[in-house]
Amino acid sequence: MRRIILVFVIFLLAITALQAKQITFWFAGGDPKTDLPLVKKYIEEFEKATGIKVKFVVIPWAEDPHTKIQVAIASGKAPDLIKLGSPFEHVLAKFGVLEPLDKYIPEDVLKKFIPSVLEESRYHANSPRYLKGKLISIPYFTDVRTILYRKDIFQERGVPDPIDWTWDDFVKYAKKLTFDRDGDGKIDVYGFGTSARYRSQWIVFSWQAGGRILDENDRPVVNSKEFLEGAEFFWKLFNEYRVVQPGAINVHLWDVRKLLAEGKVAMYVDCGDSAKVLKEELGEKLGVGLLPKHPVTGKRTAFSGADAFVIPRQSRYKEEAAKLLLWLIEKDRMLEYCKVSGFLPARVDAAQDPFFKEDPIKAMYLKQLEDSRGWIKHPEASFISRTLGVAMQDALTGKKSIKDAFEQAQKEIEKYLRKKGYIK
Amino acid sequence: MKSRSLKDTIVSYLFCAPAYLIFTIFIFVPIIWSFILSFTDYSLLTFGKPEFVGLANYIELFKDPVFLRAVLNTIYYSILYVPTTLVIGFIFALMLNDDFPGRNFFRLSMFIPVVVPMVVASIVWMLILSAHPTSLANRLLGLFGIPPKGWLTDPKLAMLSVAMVMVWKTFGYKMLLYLAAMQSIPYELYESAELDGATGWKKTIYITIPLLKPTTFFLVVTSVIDSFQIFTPIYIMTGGGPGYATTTLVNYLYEKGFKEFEMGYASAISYVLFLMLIILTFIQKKGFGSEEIF
Repeated sequence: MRRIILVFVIFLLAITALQAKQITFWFAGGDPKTDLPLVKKYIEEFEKATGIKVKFVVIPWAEDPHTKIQVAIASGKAPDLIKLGSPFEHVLAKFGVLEPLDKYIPEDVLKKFIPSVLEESRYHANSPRYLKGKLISIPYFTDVRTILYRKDIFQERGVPDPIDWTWDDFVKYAKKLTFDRDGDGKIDVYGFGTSARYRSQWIVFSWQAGGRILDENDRPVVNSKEFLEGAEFFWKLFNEYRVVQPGAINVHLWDVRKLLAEGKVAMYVDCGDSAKVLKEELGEKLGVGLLPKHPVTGKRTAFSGADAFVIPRQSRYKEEAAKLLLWLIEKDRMLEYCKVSGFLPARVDAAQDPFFKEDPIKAMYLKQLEDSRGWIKHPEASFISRTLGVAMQDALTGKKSIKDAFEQAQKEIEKYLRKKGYIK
Repeated sequence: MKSRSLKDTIVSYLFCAPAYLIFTIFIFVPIIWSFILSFTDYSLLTFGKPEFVGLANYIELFKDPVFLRAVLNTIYYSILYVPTTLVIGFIFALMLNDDFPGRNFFRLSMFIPVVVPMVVASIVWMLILSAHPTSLANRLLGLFGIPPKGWLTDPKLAMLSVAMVMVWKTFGYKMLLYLAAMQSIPYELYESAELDGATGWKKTIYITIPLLKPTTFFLVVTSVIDSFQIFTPIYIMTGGGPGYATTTLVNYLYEKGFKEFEMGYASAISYVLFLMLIILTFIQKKGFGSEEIF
């Protein structure tokens, strides 16, 4: 009798073990009111269609998901599929913890992606060798930071829509939009809301002027004439033109968004999801424009980013994780997700949907995407980012001149990259 | 009898075992492991053995201007925070030790900030201390004709503002401990002092403060340790900026370990912090002399 029971138990355990193919999916960010219910719905449909169970874990941005991902990998408990903020996958790839995705994604699916966006998912560093030239992530959606503005304030001050304009126009308009409405001698509205806490808010001016952070040999060039021209333009908005709101040196961007909603700043630069939230709050008062062009280069380069899927090497169910990935990036699902979340699809066929062409806000974001650039993909991007951020804040607080601040940043980044063996 | 004693001993150890096990796994082992890591080049994502680099991380630390700045910032914060929170906690304890209507309500009110989650408190204070002229703090200044301040964005004010928030957040705890200690002071001491003609102020100076010495010692030591480990409010409110104006040791440690993947270097920072705290505690113990009063 005992033997029979034992065999029965073993049989049951074996059956359970065979059936319990459960993958873990970590999702960084997301809004519980808008896009997350949709993702949950897709997962339920996936489970029904494939029989594969999915443990879905959401980690809000406020809980620093990228650190949690590191800890999970370090403890050998990496999830099977992760949606993260690019370019973090390039940092993970440097340590050899990601699975190349080329073999999991059919060529005809890859062809559907916006080439420039997909290119950001390829690994170009020399180490580890097995990843060089390989796809380390698959973009889910992309986004770009462009001008969001208050149409009513622009009209009140007789300023045209910020579509086809130059740096000179930008300064002229921002000055006009910085005004004392009630005549009490205090400024009520500031022309341009920003925050030097975010590199994305000012690096675009250096890019537009033709500057770069690293040259083609990965050497820093943040003291170049072009780079400094852009940085100085941002500095002048604070200290010479005086068109930015108080505290712009170090505030959170959501604070700036709040000021736009309250009509205390006339314009600022932000992503499509913020435009979606502001649209609900401001309705027709919200306008979306394009960044101003550099007077000589004619560039209006914006900062773009993407969220992407990766499969860790530790995953025991890579095939199943890839199936879920393919499920989520299917055209109609990606399209619906982007409609709800406010982001731009990474697939060409989804981006061509009339929803994005006809909606004036989405159309403007797509237009700005044509001239955009992502953050550097260097494995030491975090150090470089910190050093540049401090240089700009030191210049803005008057601790150093722009030239001195970025000369020092140049030296520090060079020294660090040399120490780490990236340059000689 | 003998075997029963042995049994009791085993049972006692078994009762203690869970606590010791948790201590060993989650505190003792990480302490030793991070000490070992401080001599290595290691990232959380590095597989295989961390590379041994000897004292290189420690040597590098003392050449790192950001680390030295973080040390100075941490000391500056500690100087701002520790005396202020203790003095305010003591004053409120003194006031709320008297019997008056609504005393319990005030005691509770002063303790509420202690139980508010740090993240929530930081976000609320960020809004209050916004640099915009319409923020609550700047409106209050405006009532006195003082121009708006960049509480968290002016490098000269940012650390002061963080210290102010932390004093608000923690003085209730100090008040509570002082209150408990005050209530344990024998009333006869005050009575005999009154017979000798001592006034309220003199009783505080010559009886209350000296008899609170053990509590003050405990609070100084724990507050200094807390102040050297400041992280969350800075992470949320200023991000260590502007520039490096509010970058403290733990913020820098976090930056190096989790953002720049230098866990060996971050471990070395943590051990320098540990050493600093041991030295400071030792100095404080010497400064306070014997804890025995009675």
